[in-house]
Amino acid sequence: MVRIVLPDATPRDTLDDAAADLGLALVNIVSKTEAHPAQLIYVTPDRRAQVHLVDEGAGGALCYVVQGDEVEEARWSGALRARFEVAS
Amino acid sequence: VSALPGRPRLAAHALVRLHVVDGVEVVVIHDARTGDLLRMGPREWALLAGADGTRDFDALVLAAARGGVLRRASELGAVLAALHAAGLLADGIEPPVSPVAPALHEAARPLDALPGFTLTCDEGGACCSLYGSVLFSPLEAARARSLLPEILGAGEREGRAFTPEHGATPDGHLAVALVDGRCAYLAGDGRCGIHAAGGEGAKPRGCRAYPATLVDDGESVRVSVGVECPCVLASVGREGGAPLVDPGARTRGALGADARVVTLPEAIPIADDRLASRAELAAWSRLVMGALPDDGEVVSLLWSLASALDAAGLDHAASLAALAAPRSPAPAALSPWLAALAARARARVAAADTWRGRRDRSRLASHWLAEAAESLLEPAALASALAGASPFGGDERFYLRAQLHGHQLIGDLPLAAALRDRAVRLLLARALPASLPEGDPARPHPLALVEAMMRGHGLAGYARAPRLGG
Repeated sequence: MVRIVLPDATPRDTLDDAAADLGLALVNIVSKTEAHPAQLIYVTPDRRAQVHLVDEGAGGALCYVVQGDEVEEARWSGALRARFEVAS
Repeated sequence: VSALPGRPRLAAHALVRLHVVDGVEVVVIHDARTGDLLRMGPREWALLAGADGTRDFDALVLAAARGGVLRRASELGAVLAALHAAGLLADGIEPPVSPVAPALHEAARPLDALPGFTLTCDEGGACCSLYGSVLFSPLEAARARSLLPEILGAGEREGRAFTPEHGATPDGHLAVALVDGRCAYLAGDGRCGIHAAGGEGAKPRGCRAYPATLVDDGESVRVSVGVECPCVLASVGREGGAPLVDPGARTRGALGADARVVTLPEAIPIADDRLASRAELAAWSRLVMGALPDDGEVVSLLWSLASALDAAGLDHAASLAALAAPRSPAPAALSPWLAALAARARARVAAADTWRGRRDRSRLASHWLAEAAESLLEPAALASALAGASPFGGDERFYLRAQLHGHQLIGDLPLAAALRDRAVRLLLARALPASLPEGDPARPHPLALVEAMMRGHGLAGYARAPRLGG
């Protein structure tokens, strides 16, 4: 699992554009509960990895969490970092 | 404007129609309440596909993602906001409506068909090129898609050629896409592609029933004909055509539960502050039809009958006296009607020009009718339209019979105003040939084009202007 923290207040349109340009397919929208934060869940075009866009809320971060095998995680975390020009 | 509905859907008064205009797909949403019109592209329409009142915004975003049309959620938000601002959204689902079979006493009502008329269709497709809504049942749409799957690619997806008749929930009739104003299934030679591929029985019921009108007046179901297609007027006096309803059908019940029968209200507005029962109306219409002169001048007959109704309601003696000595309307009395007609016709031109294609017959017709209406504002042209025997006298006399027999004068207007409105329509039809191109199929029977545009494209609304009868 790879976590990529995004710049504060990244606009929703920017996030939507990134998903569309990278070919990520939105598959679920999860509202915030006591058990988990709000998140948009995408799958990669070949469905070999999942990308969660997590809004951790007050005090937390806006971040991507990439889940897949090692190769897929490296590939997609690299693509997202490059897109948002973030290092971690 | 209030907040967006929690679970938005297109309201029932939003009529979504697919058009292909000069090769470009356009989605047009007509507001049936206001007559306003909103346009969008097919992608925006696809974004709305899930907006059936069962989904909140996030679920709509997901539905759009599943449909492969989502880029930004904000785009969906903007489309919904525009529809909401236009008053075209509702919240939650609409209760499903089941077809209601006529009550037993209604089912037994006898059919009373317009005597002596059968229809000979010229298969030229004139009527399939002019209307904003051509309706199919879900089964009829499935049959058409199966017979002709390549048409607009609808064999693969219904939504490429059909939209719901009302709103966005596909649980009733469907409106077919129009290509430059023509039914998508109309072949280039003017023949019905569905008929050619599957026989007459494969066509939608509405197309097979057209142009019959069915009105239940409490005594019988009057079967008449809408004079909106040149074939109707060309059929007058001819034999061997098709009957308006199945000759084996004797009662309303025999027409089937899905037959579109209009039931007259119990009380009918006749003139200012005058109401009559539908039984009185039925008796009056029989009386008038029986007393119509064979060679009467119909504008004068209509106007004189209207004056009689203003003065004496449905009094038989007054109406008979009007028919016996009809008087041509004075230009001053016609003037507000003609001014309202010309204004409405100009507005229709402006509306059609904003989005309809150059080959769209309804757009062309809106120009011809506006020009004809404008011409009637000239005193000399009006005098000419009123003078002497009409070159379309036979058409006009048949029209009056069809209107009376079919209770087609009963609608938004009091009966007296409706009679005057029909007189104005006849004058418009008399003036129309000067505006029609040489060889246009409407030339022999211009009244049919007037009538189709009146009902099909909102021109009839002119008569609801406050100073007239509306």
